[in-house]
Amino acid sequence: MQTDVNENSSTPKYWLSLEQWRNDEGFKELAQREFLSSPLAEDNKTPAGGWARREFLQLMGASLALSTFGCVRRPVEKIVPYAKRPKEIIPGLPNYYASTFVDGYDVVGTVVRTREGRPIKIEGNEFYPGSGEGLSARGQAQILSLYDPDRLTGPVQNLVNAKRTNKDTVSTNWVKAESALKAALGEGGVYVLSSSNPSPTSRSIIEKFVAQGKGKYFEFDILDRSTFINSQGRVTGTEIMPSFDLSAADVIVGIDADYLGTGVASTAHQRAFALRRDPGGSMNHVIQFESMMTLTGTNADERYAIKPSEQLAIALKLAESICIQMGVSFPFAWREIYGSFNDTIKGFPFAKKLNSIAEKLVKAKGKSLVITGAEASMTQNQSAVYDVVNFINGVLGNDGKTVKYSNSVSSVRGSVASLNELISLMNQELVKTLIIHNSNPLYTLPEASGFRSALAKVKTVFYTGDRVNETGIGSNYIIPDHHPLEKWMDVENISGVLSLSQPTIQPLYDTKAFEDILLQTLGSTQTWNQTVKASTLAKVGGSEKSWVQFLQKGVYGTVENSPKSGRSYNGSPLKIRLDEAADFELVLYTTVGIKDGTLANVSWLQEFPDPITKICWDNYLCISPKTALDSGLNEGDVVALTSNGITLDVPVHIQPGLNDRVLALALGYGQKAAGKVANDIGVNAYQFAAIEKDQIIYSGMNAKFKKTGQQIALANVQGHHSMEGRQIVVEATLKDILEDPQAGQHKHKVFSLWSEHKYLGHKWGMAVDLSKCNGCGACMIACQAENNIPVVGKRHVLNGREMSWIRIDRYYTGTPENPDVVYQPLMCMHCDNAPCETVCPVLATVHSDEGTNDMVYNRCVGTRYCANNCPYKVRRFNWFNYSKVSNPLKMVLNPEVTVRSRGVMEKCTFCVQRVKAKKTEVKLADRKLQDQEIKTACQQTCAAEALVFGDLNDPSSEVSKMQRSLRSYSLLEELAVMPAVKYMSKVRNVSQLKGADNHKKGGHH
Amino acid sequence: MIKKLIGAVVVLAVLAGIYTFFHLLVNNKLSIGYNKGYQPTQPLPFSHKLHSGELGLDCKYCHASAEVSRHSAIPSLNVCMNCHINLNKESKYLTQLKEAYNSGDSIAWVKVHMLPDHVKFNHAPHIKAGKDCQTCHGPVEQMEKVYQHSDLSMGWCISCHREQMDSAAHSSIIEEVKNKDQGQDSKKHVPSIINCSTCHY
Repeated sequence: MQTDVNENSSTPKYWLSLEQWRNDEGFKELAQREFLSSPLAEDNKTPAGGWARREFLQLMGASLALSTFGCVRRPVEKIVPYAKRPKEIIPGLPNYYASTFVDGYDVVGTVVRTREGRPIKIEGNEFYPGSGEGLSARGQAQILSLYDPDRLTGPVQNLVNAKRTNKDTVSTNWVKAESALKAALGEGGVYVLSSSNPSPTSRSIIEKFVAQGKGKYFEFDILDRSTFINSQGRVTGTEIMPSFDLSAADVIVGIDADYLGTGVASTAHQRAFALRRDPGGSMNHVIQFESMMTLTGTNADERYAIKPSEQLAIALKLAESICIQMGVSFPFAWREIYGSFNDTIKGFPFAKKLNSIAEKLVKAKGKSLVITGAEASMTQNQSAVYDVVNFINGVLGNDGKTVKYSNSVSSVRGSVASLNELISLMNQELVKTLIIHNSNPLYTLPEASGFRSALAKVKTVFYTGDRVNETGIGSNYIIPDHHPLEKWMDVENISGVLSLSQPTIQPLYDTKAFEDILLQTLGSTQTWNQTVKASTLAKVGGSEKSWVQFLQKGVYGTVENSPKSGRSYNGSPLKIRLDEAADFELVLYTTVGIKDGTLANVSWLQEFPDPITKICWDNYLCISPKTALDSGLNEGDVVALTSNGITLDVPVHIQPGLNDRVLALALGYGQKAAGKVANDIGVNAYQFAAIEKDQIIYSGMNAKFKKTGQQIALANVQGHHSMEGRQIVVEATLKDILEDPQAGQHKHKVFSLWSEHKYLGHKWGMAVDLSKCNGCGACMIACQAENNIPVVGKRHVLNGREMSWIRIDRYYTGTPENPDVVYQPLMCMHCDNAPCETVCPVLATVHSDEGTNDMVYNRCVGTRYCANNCPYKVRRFNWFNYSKVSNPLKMVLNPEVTVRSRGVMEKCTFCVQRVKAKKTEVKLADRKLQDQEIKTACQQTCAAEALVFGDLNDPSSEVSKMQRSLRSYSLLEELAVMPAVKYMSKVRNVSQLKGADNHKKGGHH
Repeated sequence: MIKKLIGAVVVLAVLAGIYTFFHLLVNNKLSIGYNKGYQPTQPLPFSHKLHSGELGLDCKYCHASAEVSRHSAIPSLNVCMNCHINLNKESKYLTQLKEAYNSGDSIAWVKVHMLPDHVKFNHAPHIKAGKDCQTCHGPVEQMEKVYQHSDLSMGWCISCHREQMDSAAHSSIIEEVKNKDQGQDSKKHVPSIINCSTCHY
């Protein structure tokens, strides 16, 4: 059925995995089966899929017995009303509080939904500049960290032995802990270490405290950006983290940048980026040079796989070429180094393209942007690369236009220099007391940094973390801070824009705001809450009324647009160190889900498949297909990876589009004491990093690996739920789309045996713009939080039992050496002629008169016929009682959505609870429903605004307009199932699509 | 012989019993698992007959959230105290009430109306549609001790919803939409009142 235009007719044009590219027998079998295993066949030596008869009979017997005893009188239930009901709480109605999600220096304004006093969902705050209602997967997942069962319930003390290792952890009380702190303050030598602190009030209190204690306050981020800021200082004269305006950039060149995935302000970037991916408007052109495949790279029009040591050569070549074209002199100090790269540059497979890329940048001068700065760019020569990149932006006149200094990202404050200063002070035994706040240095800092041995010389260590993790074990006292959702906090992330965190729940445990402890120890009469209010009040207007407005809106201040250009820079000598070419260069990178590892114990994020590799519950060494072939490695083979004198055993993942000389490993895994979920998942890649005087090196390290002969199964969700090579994604070039909006689509003559449904009122539908979707996966976590979707664990994911209602399929196209990537969000299509409805023997899935495909859980008997008959593979079966969670985790459940039990089928409902809530609201207010008033959870969180939900019976609704667009197509149109979801083709701003498909009409059979 | 006769009688009796059981069940004469008539004893003998019937308090004075929320919600004790702060009739129950109010240890009432499992019911739109509380809850104003008046079964819900669907008002809405079906403005609100997802989601 599937033929393609590739030379090899059996090679698919779009492929999910290398197994499919090679057309493996294993993949074919996987694609054929909806259910990869049966629990009845498990642990039995029966052939896969066969029934283990004896167990089946046992189970039958058990369920018969249960059903006979089911008829007992319903238990007496009690209702306990409030004695004095707070007037803002009405049972059954949600309350919303403005807050802020602080993820290192990535800060997003949020709105927290609470029900009867407990937070259940976080959304983006529409008033927050840049990101708007968009919220990342991590922002969505923060809610679950509040209910983490592994959080400390009160202060603890470590009894330390002579060797200063933890002998025993005992609970203590606040009186003891605070008097210890008070004594330390009197003694002097009190230092504080934290990650970048975005709260001005918190910073001033800490400064006051360390001044009293004759110490100093150090800020340090493990995902450091200080070298970039320093470079800004050298090149433009101002040491700040500028903000990038992607919406103003016509051409964007990234050199190991990940501005869409894990970088600073990525949510805001996603929104601005998507604005420029509309073929109707002026589409940007995106070029990416990268060592590891990142979310940004997969969204680029042109992507080149490089190795870290080539970054500088590329940057210099671009700079030189731009200088010539602009008539500016290329800095004299760089000529010698540039000359030494001559051969390297000539050797690039894309050598000829570099001049034309420079040309494109020059053509778009003032409206172009060159970005770098991801972990993969943090080589030993990172400062040199940043200097050259900042120089290029200056020459192109981008400063003040696409690179903005007026609203810099002021929350990036930490630096490696301050960490090193602290370590040397500790070694000199000048640090008597160290307070570690919002940071886990004993996990993140490599042993070679000397932090651990220096810490042993500190007399008393306080740690404000919420668990006895690596740093907790190394501290004398753990004085747990509130969770951010329990705490007041003022945040200034973008200079000039204030936002606020306000408590959304009473502290669950016996915790104390860190700043409160400091204030109390200082003998202040004001509490932390009062201090935040007092110091913020003046900034937001001074009156009580303006304070209340600030509380409601959550944001104060606006983004200005005052341009400020940098000074002229003539290029000072680059600080570089050139090593001999290595066999393999190691890249440590961060993933969209786990990032630096701070939310690692949140199970949603562990089961969140990485957008690119689609693997969850592990980190792994990415190697290129050629490297795998040369060294005889298969997916999941464990290798011993050696770099910087450290060896760790990791499984390999064969990653298409990776440079053959690059090995890549994700940071944030391998925690030993983060909690039941995260412990011992993967390996700790931070160990390979090197901390130098003023920089951290995450990339370009010499590395080698050796096969160990062991195997670890990697839980890869892509490959499950395959749609077997029919026309799934439609792609076209911008040129073709402008000529023919239907370019790339293969139209079918469709006829239906069914009579049509009549929709007299609403007819709900959705449109998905594949050009805008960047695959970040925030919608998956948003759906999980909204719809009580359980986590099943690695073992069950390996059996194909993940429960996500919306998934993002990632297709490669082109060759494994350098493929393009298409992301496609896929949820229930709510077909008019739904194949699932016709096969359900008990009418548990039926059509509503508003066009949705309803799932009635209490009717479902679990035949799973519907899932077998679903061409889109969007139905999920509860093989076990996954939802059975204990307190406090179950407090996160949304009371508006049924918690499904074992034996029940489930799937996307188009957030029917949101539809109903809005319809009721409209009815009570006697008004008409407006378009875009109802937003599904996935749509709401999508920063790119790629998903739009609405009423198809309203011709003026946004979704109707999108579905009428000629770019829209139905998935598997030929089946005539009439899905209510339509996709808009993916448009690339390139001259030719990969996969050698030259003709404009797409074909598949 | 007698043994066989007894056996036959027993078998017949059992069959007759099963027949009657299903006959009653199918004809809605018998319901299983519903709590119709359930009349538990409450921790305080609050009398709806007195408050609602004799004193004429509106239901929604105490059950105010019924107008805006899915729950009609048992009133919090501060609602009782609106009046009882001034009404100081000597009574051990009132003393208990005030103690509970002052201590913040609220009263655990026994839930009377039990919806079947897996159903979501929302009071607000029903009140908005002009339904009297008595339609479902029966003559509460005459109840000294509240009992469940209706069985709250699915059949009971649907029968009322069907009546609404068949009512003249509703069919006129549908007609109007049909007429405009070809035209542009077909966006008249039609209540979708007997979808599965109306109550189950």
